[in-house]
Amino acid sequence: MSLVLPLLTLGILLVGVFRKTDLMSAFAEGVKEGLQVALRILPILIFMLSAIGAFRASGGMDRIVEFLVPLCSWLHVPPPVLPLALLRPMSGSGAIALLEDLLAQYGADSAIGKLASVLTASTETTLYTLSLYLGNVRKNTGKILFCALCTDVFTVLFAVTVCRFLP
Amino acid sequence: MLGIVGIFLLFAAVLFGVWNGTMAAVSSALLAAPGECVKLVLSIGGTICFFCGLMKVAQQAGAVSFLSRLLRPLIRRLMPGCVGDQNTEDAIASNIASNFLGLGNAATPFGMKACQGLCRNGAANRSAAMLVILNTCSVQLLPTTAAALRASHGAAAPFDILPQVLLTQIGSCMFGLTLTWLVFRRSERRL
Repeated sequence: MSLVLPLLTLGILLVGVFRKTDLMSAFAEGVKEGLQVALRILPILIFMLSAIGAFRASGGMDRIVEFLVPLCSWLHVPPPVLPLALLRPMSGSGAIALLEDLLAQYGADSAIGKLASVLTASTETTLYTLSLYLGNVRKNTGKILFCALCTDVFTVLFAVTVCRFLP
Repeated sequence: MLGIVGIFLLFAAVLFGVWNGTMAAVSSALLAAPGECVKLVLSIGGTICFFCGLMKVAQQAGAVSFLSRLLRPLIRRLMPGCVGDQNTEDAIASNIASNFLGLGNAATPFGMKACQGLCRNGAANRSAAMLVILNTCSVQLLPTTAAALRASHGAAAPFDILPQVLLTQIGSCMFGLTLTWLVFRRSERRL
């Protein structure tokens, strides 16, 4: 698995050289876009991480998790991951904030940390995508929303199963 | 939307702070979190920038158009609404290919254009639904943000979640596309 990244990086750069791409200017252009992404999420992250941090410090998070335990054990979802699964379709930056919080709390290589990472990586900001793509469509959007939300629920349960069998 | 969630969380934090007597912890968390957050964005920002740069090289070397060509037959199968409309078909292919490489900024305009081409008379048909569902399933080669976050928390191998992510994405795509196909087949028969 540790081969994938270096080989992919090398492969892309070699293809770039081979296809006579201006490597440095293309790379710089991409980095600029990346910086814009980082700058765009910073304000939201500061707001959300502060709120989540305060909420956790007050002991409220533990109450919520306790409250969610019966539902979670029925679904086989670890309780701390459920808030992430609920927020993910609504807000990408909010989900990043929650993932960061979970990784800090449980560790990056823990079962919960891994599951949360897999979950964040394999789902999208469903509601944002829908409103962006179907902004000027009036008919049948409800059906698409239904399909998208069902898929999100399925993805959560499926990710839990996958992570159980591939720890 | 996120503002309401934040206010709700802070309100609950004050409430629980009084209830549990943890107000001191709450206020120190509020003071420490923004600094932690800037540090976090600086550390994962570097990784994100690197991959954005790398994927930009891939894009300019022709990776998007190469993937688009590979995807053509699949797209015609899944979204028959685009057959005969070359512009829409190109837009769909570029949308999926850009998403796959993690070029979100490039994928969005293509997706919006493709949706406009697919949706006639303001109604979403099965083809448009399939495209939107594919976009909400986050089909991506490298989960960069999650890996960057894991790296900043000292994961031994930040990308070792790749097989799990890949499996989950394949599963959720299959589920989403099948469900959409079923839902829209029933409604299109009724028309």
